Amino acid sequence: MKLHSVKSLLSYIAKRFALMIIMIWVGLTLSFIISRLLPFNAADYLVSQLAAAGSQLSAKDLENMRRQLLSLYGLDKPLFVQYLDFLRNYFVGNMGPSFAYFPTPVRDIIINALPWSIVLLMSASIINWIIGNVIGVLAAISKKRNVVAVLENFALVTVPIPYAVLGLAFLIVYALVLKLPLTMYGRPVAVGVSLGYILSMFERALVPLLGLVIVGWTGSFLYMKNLAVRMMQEDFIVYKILQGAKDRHVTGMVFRNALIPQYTGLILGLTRVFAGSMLVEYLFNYPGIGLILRSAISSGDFNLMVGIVSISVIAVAIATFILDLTYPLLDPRIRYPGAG
Amino acid sequence: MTILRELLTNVRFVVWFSILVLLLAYAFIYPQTFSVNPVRWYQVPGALPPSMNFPFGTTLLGQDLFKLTSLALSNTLLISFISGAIGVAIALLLGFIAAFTGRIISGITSTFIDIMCMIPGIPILMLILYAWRDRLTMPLIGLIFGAIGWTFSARIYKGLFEGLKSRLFIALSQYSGLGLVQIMIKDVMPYVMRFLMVNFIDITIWAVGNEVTISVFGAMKMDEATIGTTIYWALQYQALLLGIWWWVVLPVVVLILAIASIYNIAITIDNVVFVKRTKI
Repeated sequence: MKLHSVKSLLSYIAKRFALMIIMIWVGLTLSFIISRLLPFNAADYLVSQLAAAGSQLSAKDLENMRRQLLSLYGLDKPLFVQYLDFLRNYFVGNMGPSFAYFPTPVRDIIINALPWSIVLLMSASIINWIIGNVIGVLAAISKKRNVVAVLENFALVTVPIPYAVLGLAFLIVYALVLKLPLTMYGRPVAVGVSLGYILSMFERALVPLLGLVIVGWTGSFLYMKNLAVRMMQEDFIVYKILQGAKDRHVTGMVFRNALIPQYTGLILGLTRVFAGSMLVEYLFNYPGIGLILRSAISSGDFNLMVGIVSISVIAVAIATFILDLTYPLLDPRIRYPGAG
Repeated sequence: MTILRELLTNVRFVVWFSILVLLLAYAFIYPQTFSVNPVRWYQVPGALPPSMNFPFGTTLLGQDLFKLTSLALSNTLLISFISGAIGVAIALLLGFIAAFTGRIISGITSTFIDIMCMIPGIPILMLILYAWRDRLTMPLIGLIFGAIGWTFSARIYKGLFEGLKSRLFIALSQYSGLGLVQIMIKDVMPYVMRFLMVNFIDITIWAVGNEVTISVFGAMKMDEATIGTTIYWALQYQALLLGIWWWVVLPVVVLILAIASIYNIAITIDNVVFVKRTKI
């Protein structure tokens, strides 16, 4: 690799990294603003919950506790200092204690759930993307019109329906119509970096993943098919065909060239899949971010909710950055600027 | 007139349009005849399967599901349509700024659009709706959805405007002395019109999905009937386990019909009116 291409690669990475930092900053600022514009503050809320639970505390004790909590959550400082503290706390991973599981730190609850969500989200989006693209290219050059028409109609029917509704439909079909069992539940595996733990994650992710994959591939399929149909008319493909290239080679060439815009689709699609995967996690009792968000909402655990919102922004930002890093492998124009 | 005739002879359009009209009447006119709010409990015997008297059956809580679904559909559609309108307006404005202003402002706006595209909107929406749910009304909820849902459409408008900027016929209008407003109306609007409809439908359907997700998580105004909250209460009372399947299935079916009809109508209009007449 020549020097100037290394340079341009580095500047590309630096730009993407800066974008990730800005994205995290914007996301954290948003959740800070929302959490401070609330009609209640964390300390009052927790004290009122304690009082409602019927604990035998005098008004003076409650007031003391309120003041303690205000300083614990840093709410007695000026707003600007609170903002800086908020950012710094996220930087070192300190999000304060949860309300419902007081005083368990929000961080610990989220750290336990995060790997599960990442496994589900990443495998769902990557599997969907691969299936959609491969079938898309094959459909564009295939001569079996009937099969293609069936696939295309299925995709056109399901594509507009939101993930949430499809997730519910999948639950109904799975549990009510087919009455299939959820076999892998109730077998806890010790948390840790072991093969057994990772395998158990995938095993448990199987059914939610199925729900996300059965209908999730249609979007990239339709897009890829249109792209490939248009690409078949490009001069360089026509030339290749006239040269007498085998179908296999033509497919490969179309696929390789359509890959770049599709890859952008994969990166941008993460947030949309994220919404669907959260709901499916809850519906199938999969112990990821979605499930703890559900429990945070039902128990009014506001601090945990703010933590989850911020962490999901950070997680999506990092995932996007990682996918961005693999982009130069696909698109030579980033490695060799000005050469094409 | 030819457009109208072309549409009315299109079987796909006529079928889906009739379904949509029926659903809209069911959602917005039928609730006007209710004397009692169908959300209230124990008006009718509980957990009855669909029958002549109760076409959709009744819930465990003694609500007539046919009436409840009607009200729920009207609220869900109201939220989604408002959010579609607001979202398109924001997207159009930001896309315009990103394409037509000077380098610095357009650079900042483009980066902002890109970043907002990647920030997951659902958890943020849940946080907002959960915190303010006592003070929110249905139109306000639609407004908030729109304020989050514009992101992908803004990218599309930005691309569209940037593409139009470099087209020769616009440069020709400019050199012929046509004013900016005239160029906007005569040259740009026909292209924007098409995407206005497509993006409005896109954001509307996005809002339907998010309304359902957020409600199933329990972060919506839970005492109001929407399709999502109906499903929430059904799941909360273990409807599937108790075999009261209609409580979950029928609202979902109605919702899918509504989405499918809106989508198919938009697609046919797009094909008949725009694809044949404008070349992008």
